Amino acid sequence: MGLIGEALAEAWRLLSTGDSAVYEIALRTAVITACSTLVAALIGLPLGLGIALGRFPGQRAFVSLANAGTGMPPVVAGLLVSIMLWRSGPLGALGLIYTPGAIVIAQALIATPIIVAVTAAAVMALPPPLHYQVRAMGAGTPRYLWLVAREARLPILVAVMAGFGSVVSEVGASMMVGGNLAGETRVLTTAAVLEVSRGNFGTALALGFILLAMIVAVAAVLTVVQHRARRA
Amino acid sequence: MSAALALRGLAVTRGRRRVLAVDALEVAPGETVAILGPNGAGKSTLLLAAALLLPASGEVRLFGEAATRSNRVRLRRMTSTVFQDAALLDMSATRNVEQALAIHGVPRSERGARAARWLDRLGVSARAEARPHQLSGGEAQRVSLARALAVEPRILFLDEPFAGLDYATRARLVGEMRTLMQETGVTGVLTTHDHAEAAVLADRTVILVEGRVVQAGPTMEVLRAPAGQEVARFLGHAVVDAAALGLGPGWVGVPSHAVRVVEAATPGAREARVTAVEAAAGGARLALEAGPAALVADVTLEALTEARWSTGDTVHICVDEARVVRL
Amino acid sequence: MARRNPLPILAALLAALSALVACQGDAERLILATTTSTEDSGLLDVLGQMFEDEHGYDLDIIAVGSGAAMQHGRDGNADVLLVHSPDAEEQFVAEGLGVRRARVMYNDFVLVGPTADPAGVRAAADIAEALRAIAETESPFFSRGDDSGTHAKERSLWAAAALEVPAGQGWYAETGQGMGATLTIAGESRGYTLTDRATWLAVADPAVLPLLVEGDERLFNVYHVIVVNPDRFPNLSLNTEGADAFREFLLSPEAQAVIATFGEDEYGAPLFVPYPDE
Repeated sequence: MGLIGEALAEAWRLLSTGDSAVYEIALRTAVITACSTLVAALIGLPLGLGIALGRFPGQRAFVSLANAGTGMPPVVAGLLVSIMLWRSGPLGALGLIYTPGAIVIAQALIATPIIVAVTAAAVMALPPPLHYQVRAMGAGTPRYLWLVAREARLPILVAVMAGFGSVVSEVGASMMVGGNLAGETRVLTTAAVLEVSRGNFGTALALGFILLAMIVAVAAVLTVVQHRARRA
Repeated sequence: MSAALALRGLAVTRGRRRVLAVDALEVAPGETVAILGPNGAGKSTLLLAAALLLPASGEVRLFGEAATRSNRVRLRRMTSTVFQDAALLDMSATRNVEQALAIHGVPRSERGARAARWLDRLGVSARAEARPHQLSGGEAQRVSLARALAVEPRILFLDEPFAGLDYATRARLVGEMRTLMQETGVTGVLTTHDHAEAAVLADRTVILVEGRVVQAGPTMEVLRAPAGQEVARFLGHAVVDAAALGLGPGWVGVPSHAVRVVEAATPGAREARVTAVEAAAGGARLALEAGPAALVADVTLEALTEARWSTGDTVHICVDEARVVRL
Repeated sequence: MARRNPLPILAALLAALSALVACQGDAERLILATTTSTEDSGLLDVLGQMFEDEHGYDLDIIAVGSGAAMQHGRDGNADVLLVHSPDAEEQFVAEGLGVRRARVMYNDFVLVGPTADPAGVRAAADIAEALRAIAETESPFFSRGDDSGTHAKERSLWAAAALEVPAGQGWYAETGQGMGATLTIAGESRGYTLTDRATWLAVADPAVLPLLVEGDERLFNVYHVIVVNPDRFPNLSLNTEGADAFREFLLSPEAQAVIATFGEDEYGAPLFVPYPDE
């Protein structure tokens, strides 16, 4: 009980006094994760739409692949990206390993299948008459895609939020490709792991609270949007 | 002058089953043609191929221009389609109409007024800001019709647009559509399984059974003179051996309004046994057995209430020979 | 509202609990908190197995940084420690948290870095001069930054070089990870790092990250075994008997013989030098 109490007190002290190191890590985490989610959305939304609406051989295989990819273990993503970005790897010349960019790549690899799978499922779940209707209205392909995506916007938003949630809380990939370098690639999860290994359980707990707060905030935004959509 | 819509060699197969085989079908500018047939006859498949300009095989021409991959989107903008499911986009009624206008290149400044005008014309201006899930089925279909007409299409495709509506809403909307189509002069193609809709809206009617055109002609002629037992049965006629009614050789179609229930003493009355009592629009019908002939008779609700017919009763009927159709 | 019958829930709880107990096995549990360097080298796998076979304890090894290892001792979460942070250890014992501290073995730290050696540390007379050269040329240096024994050693060496710990400098990066990961990062980033010889032999490619400075007395790294003082944790029922058994085992001639040769087969040189308290 004593340890938990001390840890909680320490966490409260760090959070209430605005410990700059802790908040700096939180800010960096938010920025890196937002970038990862954005990249994943930019790749995943068109890909999900394409898989849902295209007519091409192997379409079902792509859906299965995306569904399987939603369970992409962060360490595997981290390892794949590391192998590519290490000096010995094919993209080593870019010098991205142990930079925030490397974390963005690895996290995008984790979040993209989630966004692809949910987007494809959402678009495929739209009633068929809607597709006929939009086409019959004479919409060209870009407008057709836009209107269909707009109809599925709530599940797509859920997909993007889920992508964010999965990358903000992963630790394996960030640790591996980012290196947990202080002031550069140290994010909430890797910092928390470090503080636990240092025996600073209070600091680790403070970092954990911030992480939880970010996830709760995202969930709250989602709830508000869904609620508003239902009411309007 | 070329036809507004011309279909040639349309064929659709699903698995081994042929769902549609229409050699030729033309719709003249300004006329409305009803595609009438039972459920599963291939009406919607036909309409979808024509409206989306996507025949699985064969050719679709709009005003003489054959649809191809490259002109399809442009040609679609000459038409509008309303489906049984109103298929409104998840935005306000006004925005739905404006979206269609935007697709048709109507300048932003004009869209609002035009959307308002058409919503008003369809009687849903009070629901202009409502989202689809806040609309009743009838209101949604009115918004969908306003959206279809606002773009001033040259052809209006209507795919069972009234099928999901309750009786009163449907009756009123069908009547309003007749006026609107006459006023706009739009060419119409309507699929329906209800010959009353065809009678009110269509100049010509094409009867589709199992994917084939079995009869085509002016609506009144088709409804009065069904060509063959198949059509007669679909129109609700009892198809019986003429000899059973003392009408000579061959088969005849007996519409329900040709059979009247009468007093036993009436001259020419014959006995019949009630096999079922059925509901019908505005009244009731009796299914009857008169000797070897199975007939149907319209009865008023008053008569039904008074006589309390039930299965197994014996009644007396007269058949109005003038209304019997020789097949 | 219908009252739920609590019996099925109780039964399920009981079943779960008994499953948990069954998984624990019969052997008495002994928790060793130690540093990642001993775990990474593989030495503890060998010694741990020998100890379990001989004494019948179920040895759980928690391999963390020295800082966390000591913290586990402070919290009574471990029965025995095998660590190498002399200053912290002495304080730990002085506070009465640890008893019967004994020297077990040592290995040494070495400074490794890029083949190109931009700071020219190969020519340095000792470790202090080498670190000064790195600081002057602002060559990339990777610190564990995790309060581990290695990190503590590195900080003491900056002090020996009469320099502040250069935390926050652009060329000085803290990985916050174990020695293996830090060596990988240093190798990929062509930077210098201070490492224990054992992990360097086990993990690094000498063509990428060659050994540059060694042999300075200040680089020696002595491991001690400390029994966590059970009197300080009367409520926790520490396995002090097991801890003492483990301590005796580490100091025994057979364990010391294993330490003396461990790593020869794989790396061509032993990783540790026996150094028991008599």
